[in-house]
Amino acid sequence: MALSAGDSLDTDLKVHGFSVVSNALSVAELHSLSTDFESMPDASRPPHPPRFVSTAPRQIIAPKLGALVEKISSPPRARVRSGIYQPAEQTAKVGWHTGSIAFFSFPKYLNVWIPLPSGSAPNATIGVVDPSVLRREGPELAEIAEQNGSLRLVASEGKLVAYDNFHRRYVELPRLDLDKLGVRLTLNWGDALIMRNDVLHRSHDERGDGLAVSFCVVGADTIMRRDHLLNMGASKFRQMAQLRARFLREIAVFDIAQSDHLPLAEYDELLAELIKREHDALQRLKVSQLDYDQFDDLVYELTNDLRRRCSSERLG
Amino acid sequence: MSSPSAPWQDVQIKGYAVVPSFLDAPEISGLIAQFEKAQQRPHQNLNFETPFLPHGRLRPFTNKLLAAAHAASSSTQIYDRLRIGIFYATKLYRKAYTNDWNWHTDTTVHYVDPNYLNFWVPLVKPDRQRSGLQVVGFDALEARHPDLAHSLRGQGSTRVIQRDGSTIFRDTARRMTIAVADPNLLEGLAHTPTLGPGDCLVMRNDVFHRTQDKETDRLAISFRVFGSTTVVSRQALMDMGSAKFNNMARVRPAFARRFAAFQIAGCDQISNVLYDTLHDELTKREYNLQLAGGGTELDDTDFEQLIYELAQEYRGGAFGGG
Repeated sequence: MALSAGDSLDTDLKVHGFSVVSNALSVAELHSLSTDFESMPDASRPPHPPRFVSTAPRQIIAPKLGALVEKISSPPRARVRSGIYQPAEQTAKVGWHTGSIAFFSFPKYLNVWIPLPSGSAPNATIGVVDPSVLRREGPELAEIAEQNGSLRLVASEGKLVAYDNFHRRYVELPRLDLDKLGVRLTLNWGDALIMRNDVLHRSHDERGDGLAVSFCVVGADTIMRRDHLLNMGASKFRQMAQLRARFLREIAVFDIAQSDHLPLAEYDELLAELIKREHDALQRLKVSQLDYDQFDDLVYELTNDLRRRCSSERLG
Repeated sequence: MSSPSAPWQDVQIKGYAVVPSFLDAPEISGLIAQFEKAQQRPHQNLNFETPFLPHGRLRPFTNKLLAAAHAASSSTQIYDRLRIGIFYATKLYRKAYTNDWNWHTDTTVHYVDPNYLNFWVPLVKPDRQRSGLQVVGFDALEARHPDLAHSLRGQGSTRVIQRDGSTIFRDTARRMTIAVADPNLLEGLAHTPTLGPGDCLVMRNDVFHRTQDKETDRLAISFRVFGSTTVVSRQALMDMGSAKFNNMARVRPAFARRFAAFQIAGCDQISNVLYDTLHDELTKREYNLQLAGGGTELDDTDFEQLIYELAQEYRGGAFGGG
């Protein structure tokens, strides 16, 4: 398929599931991300804890990415969430897949994948499978992949096995050559690949020394759901537990609100308050992290405060 | 199997009973030696730093514990599977672990298996009157707060805190909070059994308990006996709020295997016998792969691959599957 620019990007995203935007980030912005990554502790040994983009570079880049996504996709407004660094030495092993960590929280998002100048290659390559092509050539797999996420595909003894992490199942499918079916995209430094969360993709970094960053962008009208976050099998639990502090807070927000569904703005407000109070508690208690009881106390207090605030607002 | 003499009906009525001289001197000294060895290994229970007795070392106690568990069973709840032994220590017992236990019912085990008996036996206890366990019987709780007793009976994984003149019960499995306007509710109902080394306090998992004090060096073991007809469900494991996730995530490898057992069986509800079989097999294979890989934890792709292979074997008839 031809890669387009400008207004046709919207069509690309809707019809083909992905778009490429040239020169999305400046050299200085790319450099700030590379520097951020290099300053992080080594996570090259299994189980490879994910490394998130730090607050400072994220705050610089998020408005730009948000505006970019808004330009090429329909309203509502876009909200840029976390960014995760993806060193090729780890992603190459994964093969064809859809993203996991962001999908744990958001059933629908856009993945903004940006290669960073790193390693020995002059540019970056990534493979993607157009969902409309997949529907035609591999309808069984398309059925599993569409509106799903956290999927990994493994070729095994003449068949293709879909590890469907969200639905906790292994689906054996007829053999399908995804490398042949997919499109190999070449991106220059600063270009961005924007794809729906259900688009299969894989790293094509043969040298294994490349680096990319993947940002999750959601619509501002997103409703956060406890049942989506907590629908898990072994792999999801394992990855969420590896990021315990992060997902602990995400779950706690539902506990505090005493609700299983929350509009994103309300969710973010509670999350920010929880993070602030957690920070205050760490300072007050002079500890590096809250223990089990201390964190539960914090949740209990915030729950009560919110309840009091809601009842006083009702009375007022 | 003959069961030791004890008021077993108390397990149904109060939730606990005391069995004097449950373990003999050689058994006690053998367990103390096991505890010393366990201290040399890395902690398995990162939440509470309480070391486990290795599975193989449970065997000598099986007959005795199952006879007692049988005597404590009711027509509706049979306890007949010994699965776990955990050491608990007060103070710095021979540089051992120390914990601050307020009133609670146990969490980690309850997340998977909602009903079990806890056989708590002090191994080292210099003073029969001190550093034991305090318990609240359901008979006493029912007499004072019948609705509360009704709500807490048969449950577990509940934390108790005192706030603003109330006693607050935080049930981390059901995500329920109950507040009772009495800050000393459980203290007022507490009973402290007088126990020496080898005596056993048998209690159901729904009985609230706490460490009496940490003033003396006390070491105890807690054996857990379950029912073989229990069905365990993935949904029960997955129903969680932040406290339960926090608890489970701290022992990530263990709970990842627990979730995996359901995936291997390809079913969301399985008997706890099958669950244990699959869980143990996965544990063994994961350990072997880690050893082969130089001791590093498996990455996500290798862990997924292992679960898939085991699921294939199960479907092919291994481990009672097919």
